[in-house]
Amino acid sequence: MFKRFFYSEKNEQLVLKEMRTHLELLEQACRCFVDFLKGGDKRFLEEIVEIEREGDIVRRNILSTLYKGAFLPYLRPNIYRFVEIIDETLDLLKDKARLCEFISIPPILLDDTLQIAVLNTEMVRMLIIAFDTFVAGDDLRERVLAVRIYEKRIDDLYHDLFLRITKVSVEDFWQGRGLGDFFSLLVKLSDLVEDAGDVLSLLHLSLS
Amino acid sequence: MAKEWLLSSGILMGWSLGANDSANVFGTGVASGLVGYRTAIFVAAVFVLLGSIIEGEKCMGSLGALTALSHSEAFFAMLSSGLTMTIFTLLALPASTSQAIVGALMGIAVYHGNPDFSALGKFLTCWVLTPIGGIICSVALYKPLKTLVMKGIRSPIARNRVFLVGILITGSYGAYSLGSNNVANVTGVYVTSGLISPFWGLLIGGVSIAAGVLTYSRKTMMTVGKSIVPLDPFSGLLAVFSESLVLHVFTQVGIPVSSSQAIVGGVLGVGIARDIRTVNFRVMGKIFCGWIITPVISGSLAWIAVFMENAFKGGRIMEWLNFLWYRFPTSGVETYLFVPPLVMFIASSITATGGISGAFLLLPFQVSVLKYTSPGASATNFIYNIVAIPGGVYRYIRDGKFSWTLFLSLMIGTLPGVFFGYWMRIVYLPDPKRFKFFVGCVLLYLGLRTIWSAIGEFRTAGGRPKQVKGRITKENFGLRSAVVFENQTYVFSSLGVMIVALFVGVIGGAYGIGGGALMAPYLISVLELPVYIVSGAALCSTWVTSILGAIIYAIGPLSGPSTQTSPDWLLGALFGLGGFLGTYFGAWLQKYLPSSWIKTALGIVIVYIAIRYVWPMISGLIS
Repeated sequence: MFKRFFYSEKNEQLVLKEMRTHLELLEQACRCFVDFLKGGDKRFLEEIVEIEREGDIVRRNILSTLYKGAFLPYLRPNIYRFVEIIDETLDLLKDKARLCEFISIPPILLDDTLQIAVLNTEMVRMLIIAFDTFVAGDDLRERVLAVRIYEKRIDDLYHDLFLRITKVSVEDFWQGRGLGDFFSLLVKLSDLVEDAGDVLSLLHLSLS
Repeated sequence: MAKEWLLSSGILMGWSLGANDSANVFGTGVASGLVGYRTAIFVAAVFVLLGSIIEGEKCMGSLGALTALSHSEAFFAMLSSGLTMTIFTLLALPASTSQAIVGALMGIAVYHGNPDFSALGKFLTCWVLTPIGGIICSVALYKPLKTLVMKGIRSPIARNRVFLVGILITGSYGAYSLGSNNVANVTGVYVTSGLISPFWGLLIGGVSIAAGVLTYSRKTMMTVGKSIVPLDPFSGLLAVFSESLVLHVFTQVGIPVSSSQAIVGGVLGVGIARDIRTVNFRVMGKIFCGWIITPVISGSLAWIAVFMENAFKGGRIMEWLNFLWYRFPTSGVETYLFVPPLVMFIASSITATGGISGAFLLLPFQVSVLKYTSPGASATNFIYNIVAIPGGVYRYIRDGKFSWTLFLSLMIGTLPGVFFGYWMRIVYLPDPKRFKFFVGCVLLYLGLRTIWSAIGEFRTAGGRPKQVKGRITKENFGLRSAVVFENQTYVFSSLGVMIVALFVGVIGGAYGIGGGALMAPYLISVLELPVYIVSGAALCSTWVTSILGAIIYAIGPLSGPSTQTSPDWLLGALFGLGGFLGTYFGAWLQKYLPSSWIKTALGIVIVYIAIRYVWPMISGLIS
């Protein structure tokens, strides 16, 4: 009857550990994408798909541990939300990888695309640092602010990129649509990571 | 009145207090899922009992300072407080048990002409200070505790644990304080009146509060808890802690106060500490109104109760009411004209909330209270049914839920049965001792069935059957009859129904009931007919059987002045009038009362009456 109150904090520790793993998988997938853009090796795309599958397993582990009673019920909705956002980001990376198997990025857009992908990776790294700060119980406002700054920079870059996209000629409708979807996904990733940073702030506030 | 019965109003009050106020200590934890319901009620019950026994005595004497009470006045004080709390609960107004009891005691003091307003001043000050104390505690503790938790405990896992264990500790402390402070509200007046010793007062009070926590606190915990839950865990914890602290402080002062107002103060204090704009001043206004209205109503009720008691005791009321004294010529019963309708109004109001006909309790009343034991009593029972039932039958016919085929099958079986019952009553059961044994057997069956039905409701969490709007569209009468209801065909053996109805008719004919209530379980459980079809037909069959039963008793071949079989039409009509109004009132009241608990209580009372009727015959056989 009372074991929840007086026994170990195993469930809570497991949830935090798995959340960290989830974030690391996201960073790893982002790096694979950067490597693909640098070298064009499609094996990296396959790796992203694999990472996304691993991410699904981690997500399920977290949800089942929360269901077993980890953390206050008051905190669980935000933890669920955080995990779902990271999972959605991994899904988005997988979709992007699948798209890249069918489209070719025009050379005049490659540099900017690479720059956005690198910034996305750095943004995820910053999110991991923010998460570590949260776990340590320190103030994470500056970390979350850094995540937002990354997002702003990516938005600015995308704005320039968009102007140039309109001047690129495409072979057929499907090539054009694929390219449009690819760039939408590229920039949506940073929005999702920013959302994850906000939810982390909410979690921190919930405990204060 | 026996000593044990005088305690009943206090025990009921304690039970209600436990069921309601435990929400103030564990509502947050249970509604948010932090603490399991079973864990919460177990911990709360244990700590309430501990609080009552260890520190409850500190508040016991304070109520005695308001007025000296006789044993029966103590009972009326608790009854008036209980009634006031029920009225306020039905009207969804905030009320405090402590204020109701103090109001009742002052009402009695005013009646005696010796109210001590200086002692009342102490209570009034404490009532005002209760929510204010909650506010002060929360405001004072908010920042220091917040700093302690935020700076001292940084890791989210550790904070999570602090809140988790904190809710259990503050809840336990709250339950302890509730028991120590509020036990005086339950048995304080009995102790000061000398009815029971302080030890028994603490024990009975503590156990009755704990019983309320254990048996009926889930609903209030969820309702009250959900209104506090939007607070973050720290604020919720602090509000409960402030409430517990305030209750404990007032225990040391020796004044029982309201736990609900203490928690409201605690929550308001948290709001003020964070931002004064979050405070709802309307809630404060309601509490203020409660300080005045609760004691005034409770005091008035207590005044009326004691006035009536003394008026009856001195015989003055009886003198005034002498013009209503009447001797019913047929039965020879002598009583006030308002007694038969009043008794059946009360009895039917209660039995209708539990879904039972008042006719079952009418016969014991005639036999044991009015001493009307001749066969005419059974016939008078029939008259009650004739007057009380038509409204219900009309409703079933209007709603298209009346099955003619089932009604016919019941009638064909019941009518000869009633005649046999009449014969049995006159030939074999004219002797009151034998007749009482027969009545006891019928009541025993009914009582056990009522308890069984209540157990069923407890198992299904008291869920009420949903209202079905369908109508009977087609019927076919034969050896195997068919009824089409809500596009579903129900087939039953008419012959089988007639045979069972014949036996039921014999019992009903002798007892003075139509037998519908005895038939219904067979039709629903064995033939698996829907309750919507059965109720209308059974009720109408009871009505028609009662008419014919009354006629048979009046002019049957065995009837005559020597056998005293003729029904007392006026007495029966007066009973029926009360029953008719009581059934409607009970049906309305049913929405507000837990039917499973009423059924349990009714079942126990019926079984008790049955045993009293059956036992003399059995003990005679044994000896």
